[in-house]
Amino acid sequence: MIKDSIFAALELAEVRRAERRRFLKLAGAGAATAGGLALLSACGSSDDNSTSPSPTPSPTPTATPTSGVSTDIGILQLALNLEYLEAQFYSAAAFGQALPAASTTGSVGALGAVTGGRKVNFSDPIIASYAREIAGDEIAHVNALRAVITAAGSTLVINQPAINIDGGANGAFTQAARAAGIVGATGTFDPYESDENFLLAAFLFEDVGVTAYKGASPLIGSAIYLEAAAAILAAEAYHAGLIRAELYRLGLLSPTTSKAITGANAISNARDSLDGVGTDKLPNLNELDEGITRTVNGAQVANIVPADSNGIAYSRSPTQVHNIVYLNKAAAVSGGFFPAGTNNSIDALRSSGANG
Amino acid sequence: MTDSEQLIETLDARVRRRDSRRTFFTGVLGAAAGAAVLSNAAQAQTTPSPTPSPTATFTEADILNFALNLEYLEANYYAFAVTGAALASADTAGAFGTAGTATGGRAVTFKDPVVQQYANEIYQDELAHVRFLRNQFTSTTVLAQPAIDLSTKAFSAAASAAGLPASFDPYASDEDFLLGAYLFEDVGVTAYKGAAPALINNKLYLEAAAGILAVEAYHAAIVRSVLYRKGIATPSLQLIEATTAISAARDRLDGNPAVDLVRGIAPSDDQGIAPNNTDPLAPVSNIVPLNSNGIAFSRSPAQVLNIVYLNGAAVSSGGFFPAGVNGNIKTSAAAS
Repeated sequence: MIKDSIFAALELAEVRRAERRRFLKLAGAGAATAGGLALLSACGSSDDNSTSPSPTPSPTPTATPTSGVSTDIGILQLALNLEYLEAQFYSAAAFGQALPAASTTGSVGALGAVTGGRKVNFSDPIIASYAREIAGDEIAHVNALRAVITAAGSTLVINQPAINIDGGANGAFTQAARAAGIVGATGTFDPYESDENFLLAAFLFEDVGVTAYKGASPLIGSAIYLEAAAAILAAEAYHAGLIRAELYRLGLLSPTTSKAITGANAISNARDSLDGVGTDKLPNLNELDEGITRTVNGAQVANIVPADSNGIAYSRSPTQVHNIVYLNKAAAVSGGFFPAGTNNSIDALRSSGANG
Repeated sequence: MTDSEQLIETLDARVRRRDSRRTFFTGVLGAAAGAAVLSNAAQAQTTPSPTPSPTATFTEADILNFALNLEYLEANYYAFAVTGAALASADTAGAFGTAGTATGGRAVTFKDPVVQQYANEIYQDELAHVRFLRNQFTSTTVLAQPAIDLSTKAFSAAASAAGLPASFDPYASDEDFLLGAYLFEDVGVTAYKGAAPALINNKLYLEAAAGILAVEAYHAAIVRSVLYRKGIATPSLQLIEATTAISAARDRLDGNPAVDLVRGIAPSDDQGIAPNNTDPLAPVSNIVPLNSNGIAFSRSPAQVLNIVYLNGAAVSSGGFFPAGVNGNIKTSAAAS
C-alpha cells in the first residue's frame, strides 16, 4: 500500500533509525526511575475534580494487565491515545492518508478503526503548509511515545482505539459543533470542507493537548519522562498558538461572514461546560479554557494565549480530558471521538469525570 | 511523479532537514561521533553524561530566580514596545541582588493593528509572569531586577552575531519588533523546558513552570507565524532569512552539547522558520522548532546565559544584562 510506504520512508532514513534506537535506550533508563502510584495524590495545583469519586470503569475489552503498571506508563498511554487521535486527523486532512498499522498496533486494549477523514482542498497554501507541518509533528509524537512505552515493556503499548474523525452528520465533529452551537441541532460540521473548518477542528484538539500534558506533568515521577512530556507540551502549545492566531486573522479578514472567531469562542465555551468546575485553588473556578478574543473596555481584543491571571496555562486532569474527547460531561468510558473509549492499562485513566 | 511519491518526498525532506543538522554535527566531531552515538547512549544510562546539567546543583529557588531574570528582560522589552516605558519599580525592586534599571527601549509605532494587539497581549502575559515569580518570595528574599540594556546597541550586537546588518532597531517597525521578540521567545521555551526536571520534587512549581513554558510556546508560535506570513507576502523584507540567521547565531552561542533526543538536546538544534521549498509537492512550514521525535529543545541555564549575554564563553555579564543577572545562577557555559 502506498500509504504504508509514506511512513516507511520516514522509517528508512538511516539517521532517524539510529535516533530511534537511541531514544529507546534512553527511555529504558527513564523507566528505571519511574515513580509510583503515590504520585497520583501529589497533584499540586491541578484542577482535578477531587470531590467526585472516580466512576467505576467497565472491564477492558481484552485481557490486559490492570495491576503492576506504573502511573507513569498509564500517563504515557493516555497521551498516546490523544496523539493517535490528533495524528489521524491531521494526516487525513493534510495527506488524505491514515497511519500505517505499524504505528497503531499494540498489546493493550482493543484495536479500533478510524472512521472518516479526508484530505482538505486548502485554498490558502500557507495553511496547507501548516497542516503538513503539524501532521508530521503529531505522527512523530505517536512514534516517539510508542518507542518510550515499548522501552518500558514491549507489551505495554496500547492499540489505537476506535477513532471517529468523520465529517458527516453522524461524525464526532458534528456532535461537537452542535453542542457548541456552531451549527444548528440538525446541521453538519465538516472539518475537511474549508480552511476555516479545518482550523476550527484543529482548535478543538490543540488546547486540550496543552492542558492535558500540563495537568499530567505533576503526576510523572521520572525526570526523563517529565522532560519528554514537557517537550511535547511545548510542541502542542506552538501548534495551538499557530492555530489560534490563524483563526483570529481569518476572523478579522471577514468579520461579517467568518465563523473563525465566533466558532472558536463557542468551542471554548463548550469545552468549559464539559470539563466541569475546577477546585477552589484556582482563581478561575469554572474557567479552564479561553476563546481567542476577549472584551476590554467594550472593545474586542486578541486572546491568542489562554492563560490565568498569573500568565500560566491551564491544566486538565485525565478525567477532564476524557470529558472533552468523549463529548460528555458525565462519567463515561467511551463516546465522541473515541466511540469504544481510550485504551489504558489503568482503568481509571480511561474515564471521564462526573461533572453533572 | 505521483501525488503519493511527492508526499513521500515531502515528509522525507522534512526529516532530512532536521537530520542534516545532526549530520553536520557528526562531521564536526569527527569519526567517533557517528558510530558511537548508540554506545554513548547506552553508557548514559549508567554513567554521568559528559556535560552534566548544572541545574542539578541549584535549588528550586535558584531556578525560579533565574527564570525571573528572563521574565524581567522579556517584560521590559514588551513594556517599552507597547507603553514606551520600562516596568514600574513596584514590579522590579528586590532585596536580593544588585538592582538596576531597564534602559534603551521605546514605543513602537505599530502599523498592523493585529501585531499591536499581539504585542499588548504578550506584554500582559510577561508582566504576569514577573509578578507570579516575585510572589513566590517574600519582600526580604525577592530578586531585584538587574540592569537591562534594551537599546539598539544591544540588539545590534545580537544582529551582528547573526550576520545581519549591524544596525538593528527593534522599535522601528512592526517587522523589526517581531524579530526582536523572535530573539527572546524560543529561548524562553528552551529555558523553561531545560529547567523543568530540576523542579520535579516540587509539584506546585513544576506545574507552574509547565504552564509558563506553554505560554512562552504560544507566544513563540504567534511571533513565528506572523513573521512567516509577512515574510512570504513581502520577500524583500528578508524576514524568513533573518530568523534563520538569528537561530544560527543562538546555536553558535550556546555551544555543542551532546545529543540527547529524549531530553531535546543537540549541538545545532535551533531552527528558523524557513520552509522546505525544494519539495515538488509544496512547502512544509517550520513554525514549530522540534527534533525528529517531534519534541521541543532544552537549554541549560548556562546556555541560556550564553544567548542573553551574547557570548559563547563562560562570562557573568554582557549583552542584554550589562551587569549580569542576579541570583546564584549567573555564569554562562564555557565554549564547547
